[in-house]
Amino acid sequence: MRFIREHKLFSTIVAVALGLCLVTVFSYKVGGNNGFLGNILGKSSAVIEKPLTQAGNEIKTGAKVIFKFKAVARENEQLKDEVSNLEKQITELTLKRHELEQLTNLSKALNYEGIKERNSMVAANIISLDSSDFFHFFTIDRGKESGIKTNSIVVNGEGLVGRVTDTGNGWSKVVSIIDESNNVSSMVLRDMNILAIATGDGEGKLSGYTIANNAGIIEGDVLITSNIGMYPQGIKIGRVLEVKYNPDTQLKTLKIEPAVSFNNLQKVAVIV
Amino acid sequence: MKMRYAVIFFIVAFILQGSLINLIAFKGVAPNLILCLVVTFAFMYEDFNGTILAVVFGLLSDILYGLYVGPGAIAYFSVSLVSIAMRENINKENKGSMIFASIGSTVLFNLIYFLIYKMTGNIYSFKHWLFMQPMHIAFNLAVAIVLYAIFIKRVVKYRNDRYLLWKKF
Repeated sequence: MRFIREHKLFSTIVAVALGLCLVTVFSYKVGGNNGFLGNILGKSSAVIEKPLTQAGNEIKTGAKVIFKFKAVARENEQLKDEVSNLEKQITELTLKRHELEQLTNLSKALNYEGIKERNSMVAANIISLDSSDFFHFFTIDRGKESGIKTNSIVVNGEGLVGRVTDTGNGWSKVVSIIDESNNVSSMVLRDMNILAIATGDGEGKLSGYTIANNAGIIEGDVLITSNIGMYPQGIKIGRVLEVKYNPDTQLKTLKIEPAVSFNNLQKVAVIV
Repeated sequence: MKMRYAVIFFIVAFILQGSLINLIAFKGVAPNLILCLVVTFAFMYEDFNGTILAVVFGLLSDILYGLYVGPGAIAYFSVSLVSIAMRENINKENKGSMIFASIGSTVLFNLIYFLIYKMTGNIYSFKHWLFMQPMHIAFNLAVAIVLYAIFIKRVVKYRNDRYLLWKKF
């Protein structure tokens, strides 16, 4: 006690440092859940930052139109072509959906188990990003009130974004797939018999390997989620950049470019 | 600086950090306004306001944006202590000192933050960390120089007076 009295400044610094270390360890042990305080702060922050982020996005989009007029015009032409192709696909899919609905009704009538309910999506805006810029953690403006839970899957128009790590009323924290070492079960869109595992590579991309050593996976193949694990089937993960045979594991190792551009995310959808 | 003014600066920086600052982000990297304020306040003012606010806003930042509570607060706290140590040992009126403090603090903050998350199982490699440093340093240095230009006049008043004596000779 005498030492503490004589070295008040030093003792305070040590106490604060120890306290912060304990908070970090505790937070890690409980999986980052911030509890009641986090919920209140998260809600307040969402209310303040949402309009600012939206204004920022508007400015960004406006600036892009002004400074990249030619690129935007080219992109517009490409999008028009894409829309026309997608409209054709919608017509085909509507017919298929009609058939599927008939089959679903039939299966229900026959009490066939195994038909899962279609997942619903909740659209959300990104309202803030992790300030360190190393990681791709971000906060969205939807939470428990929309049915979002911890580990809900987050996607956008390009593909799989990540999962929810913590949620409260009006906010949810999301961690991207490239930030995690979780294995994502996947399959090749071209041939769905080719199965692979994808995971973050520690450098902002994805890496992976095929389940079978003689899998016919090639560069340029698109990987989508399989129905194994927490991710529902059919979400685009990325494109295979490189395939190499690893003689040690006797498996084909993959370098994968994520489908999602994580630096320009503005809107996402959460599967609930 | 009075605590209430410092708090206002930090609140504004904190709100901008999570939202509008991404307008000027390049390849996902943007200046860390809270870090720049922590360094400026701890390095230039003869009080502990910078350190107190570093811990408070570090914790807030972790609660709202981080995966875990604590890493940001520890990193900001460490940076503020190192800035105070630099304040006591190098001339804060020299622009070079501020540049040195800003670069050193950016690297220290990023290193501590990265290492804590690495211990919790994050997969990013040290190579990736190194690759991002130049952009972080450039952004933070630019903001720190602006803050230095604003605050140095308030911290050290009549800075040129001492040289007037020499000019007479």
